[in-house]
Amino acid sequence: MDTMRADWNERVAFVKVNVDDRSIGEALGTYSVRGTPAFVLFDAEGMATKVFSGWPGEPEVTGYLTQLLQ
Amino acid sequence: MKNSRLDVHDVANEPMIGRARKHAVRHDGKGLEFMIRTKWKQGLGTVALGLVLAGVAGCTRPTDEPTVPEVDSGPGAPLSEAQDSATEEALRQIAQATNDALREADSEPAPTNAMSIQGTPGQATATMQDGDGDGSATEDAGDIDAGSASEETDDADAFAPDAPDASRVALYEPTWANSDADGLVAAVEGRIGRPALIWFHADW
Repeated sequence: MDTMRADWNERVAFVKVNVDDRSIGEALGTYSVRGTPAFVLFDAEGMATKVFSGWPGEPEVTGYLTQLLQ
Repeated sequence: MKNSRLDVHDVANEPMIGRARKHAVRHDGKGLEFMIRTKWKQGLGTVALGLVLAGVAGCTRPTDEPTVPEVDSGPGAPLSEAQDSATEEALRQIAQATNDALREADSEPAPTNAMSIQGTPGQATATMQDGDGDGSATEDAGDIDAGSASEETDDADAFAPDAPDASRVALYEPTWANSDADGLVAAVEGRIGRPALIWFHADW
């Protein structure tokens, strides 16, 4: 993830959120996060476009990021 | 002994007019009765004619009479002549004041403190600069044949729209901390300025 963040950080923001953080409790339900790791991809306007349960692999995530930036 | 012919002559000597007298002579012994009946009919006819004329006059409205809407100036009070004349006077004064204002506005020179127009025809360039130097805009105004127009102001907020400018909203830069809850909120609100990938993780 660190390598991917280094490659994409100019175009995509990477945010880490701890599920034990009580201040994000509603977000877990909103985006159906039932386990870790989980990833939610937002577009620049704040619309959740994709939810990953588990790590899908860098190629798949890269494909979604590329599609989102087009 | 009276006969009917004498009666007729007696009746004929009575002061009668027109057809009543003629009929009285013609109908023996019944002249008076006929006269009364005729007079009665004439009276009825006159009354009927009067009623008909009155009805026609009541139903007929002069076409040249203007239709004026009723103005309720009080509980059932019609507009008096004094009120009518006062209204006309007020309207006349308003029209006069409007004409004076328009005439005065036409005679005043254009304000020069907001925008100065200079140059010659053909220099169709309008330049607007911000007083605080945070940006400037240059616009090619091809349809302006008066020359170039330059506007300067000390307060750029005078041009600020009422709605907040989305480009002026402070963007949030994620920290890559262990739990960046503010980054999550900023991503949801679209305040990061680019797509965001949120990684939900746990320490255990």
